[in-house]
Amino acid sequence: MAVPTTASTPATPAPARRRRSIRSGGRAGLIGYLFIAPVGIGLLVLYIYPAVATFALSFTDWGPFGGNTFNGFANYVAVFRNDLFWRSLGNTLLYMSIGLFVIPIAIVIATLLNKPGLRGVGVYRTLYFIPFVTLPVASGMVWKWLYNGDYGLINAFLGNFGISGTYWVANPATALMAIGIVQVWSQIGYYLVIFIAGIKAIPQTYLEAAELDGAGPLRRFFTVVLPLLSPSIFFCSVINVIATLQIFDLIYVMSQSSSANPAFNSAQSIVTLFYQMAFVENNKGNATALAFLLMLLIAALTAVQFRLQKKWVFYD
Amino acid sequence: MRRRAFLRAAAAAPAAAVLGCSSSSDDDRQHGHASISYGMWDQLQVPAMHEVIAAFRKEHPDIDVTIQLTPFSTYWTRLQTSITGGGAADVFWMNGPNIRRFSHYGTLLPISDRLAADGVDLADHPDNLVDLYAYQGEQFGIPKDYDCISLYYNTELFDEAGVPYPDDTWTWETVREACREFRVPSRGQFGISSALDRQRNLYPAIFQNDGWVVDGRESGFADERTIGGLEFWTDLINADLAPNAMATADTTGRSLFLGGKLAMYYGLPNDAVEAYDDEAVRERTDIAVLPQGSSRGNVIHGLANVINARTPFPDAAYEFVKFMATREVGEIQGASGTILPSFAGTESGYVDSKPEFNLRAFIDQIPDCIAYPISMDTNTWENQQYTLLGDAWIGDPGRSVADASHALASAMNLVLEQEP
Repeated sequence: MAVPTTASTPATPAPARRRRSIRSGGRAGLIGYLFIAPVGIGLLVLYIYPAVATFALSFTDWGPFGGNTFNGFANYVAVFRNDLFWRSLGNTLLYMSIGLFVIPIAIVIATLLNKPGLRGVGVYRTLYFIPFVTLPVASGMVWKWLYNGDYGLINAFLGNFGISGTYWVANPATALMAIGIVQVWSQIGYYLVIFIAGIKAIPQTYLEAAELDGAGPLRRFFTVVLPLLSPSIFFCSVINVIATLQIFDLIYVMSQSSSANPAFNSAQSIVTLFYQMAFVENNKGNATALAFLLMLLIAALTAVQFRLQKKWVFYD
Repeated sequence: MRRRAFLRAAAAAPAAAVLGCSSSSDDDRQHGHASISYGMWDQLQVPAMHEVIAAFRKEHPDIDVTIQLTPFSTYWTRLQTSITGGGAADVFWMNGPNIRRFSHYGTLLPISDRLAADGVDLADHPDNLVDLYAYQGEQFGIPKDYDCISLYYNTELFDEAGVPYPDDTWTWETVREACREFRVPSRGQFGISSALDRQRNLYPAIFQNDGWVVDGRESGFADERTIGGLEFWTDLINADLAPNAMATADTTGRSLFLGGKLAMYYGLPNDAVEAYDDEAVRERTDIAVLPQGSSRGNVIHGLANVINARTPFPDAAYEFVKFMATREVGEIQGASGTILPSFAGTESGYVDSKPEFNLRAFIDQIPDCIAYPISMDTNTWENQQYTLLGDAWIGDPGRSVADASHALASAMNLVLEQEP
């Protein structure tokens, strides 16, 4: 990183030269590194080292009490041959698709909350934000209770209309959807805040100009607000996809039961499968391979999104 | 702890040299003032364990014992990592599903020779339970308590339906007939819980139909007799005489029973505590031996005390484990009313702690018991049981339990094949 300052000085104008000499080389450069050290060391020790170690360990056979021997691609082969892997991969992609609904919902709510003259915006914003700051385990427990087939509020409510509900989180046909809805519900607040800020940043003049041209509220929303909001939408979809691919705690809490839950396989994600392999079955070799595959999946989907953004994201 | 042990040994060495040879009494002095930790997970048993430790300290004032309590949900993960990294308790609780793996990988101190030298034969503990904690001819643990399954029933619902209380003449057929009497759809009331619960429901039914779960590297779930045992439960569900697994996943059979929605359920000795604490439930609850299938049959499991192979104080740890296997400790544990102690004849304390319940039923069934089935990777195939059998438990007669059981057998055989 240490670019020799002398080489570049003649070409650069004076103020830039001063900045550059701070950034690189000598004592000043050292101070720079010192400033990023706390984060850098944390990142190195807590993220990069474990990631590299996981990758290395995914090619070994782990004894339950430590000690590992190289076994090539055996762990990956075992994972690919495991039916549960394909099933949980499908489930995870479903969670991701359901999770993306949070974006249109948050945009609609953000637009409504941005209506001029609306009173008590702070209250609404807080209300929507509370689920996001609540521990997923806590909200999962409450929702599990709401979903309870015999005593749950949801079925009691549906009963008023003569509809008999089901065992929402124990029925293989509904469990994934039921958990996915809670995931969306818990995330709305976060995306809402981003979209409110995004909408506020849209210059009022554009909207006024559109209005003068005779565009109605819907037209203004779709042709002015949405395109100008696309950078926020892009950011949110990247973050959201990464988060839902790693969904764990809600599933862990909501599909866990002291006797067996027949819907467990239909609701299991890659990370819950990882937990199962690593800590229940003590098969850490297969589990590390699975973790690495998930990382690849996340990286691939993120790369695809960055590719596609050129087609639809509009930078003002 | 390591360093202290070393210093103590170093300090004792010259003394031993001066005395010439070390007799057994010198050995005792060498491991004097040991400090060991005792790992367990059940908060309810802590008071009894404090009593046990106090009694132990009377005999061995030079050995300190401290309790290390870890909740069950993290107990095994933590134990496994602390054994790998060092710092695990010197003596700790072990259960059936985990004993083979821990002993196979040399993490536990073998105690057969020490027991033989002391003339301790463990005959006062149930045989099949003692055998559960032996691996390749070596004893690794001594049972501390045990449980098997009995039939809990709601006397109010029995009176209401005019069904006579269950006794040892009951068979599966009696259960089926009674369940028809108890079914009240409008109240969500059923006769019995048929939850997908291996210890309470699956294993007793399998054993009562002369089926089996695991033998060496072979799964018993492809055996017709095993499947017949499972069918006892799924037939009840498919006939709408018992709540399906979706219902019991949402609300456990035990909770449904405590809430008065079930007339009967198969329960562990521990389950009596909750039923007893609520006065209304206590008054309408009693316990009987299990109804019989083609034979009597039941499953016995119990915890054992084992010693960490890397303990710096093997002698002190062994003394503690040996003490835990005595009548005195059985009586302390029984009197606490939390568990059934495994030392024969000390159960009376437990039975007397809840005189309104026929807790004798548990003791009477010991001769019917088969040991809790285990292998090396027990957790892996136990997990498969729930995920693969679940389909047959949701009350859809189109999904046959025979198919699910055969699928389980092949998945389980793969696991068993790969065991070390």
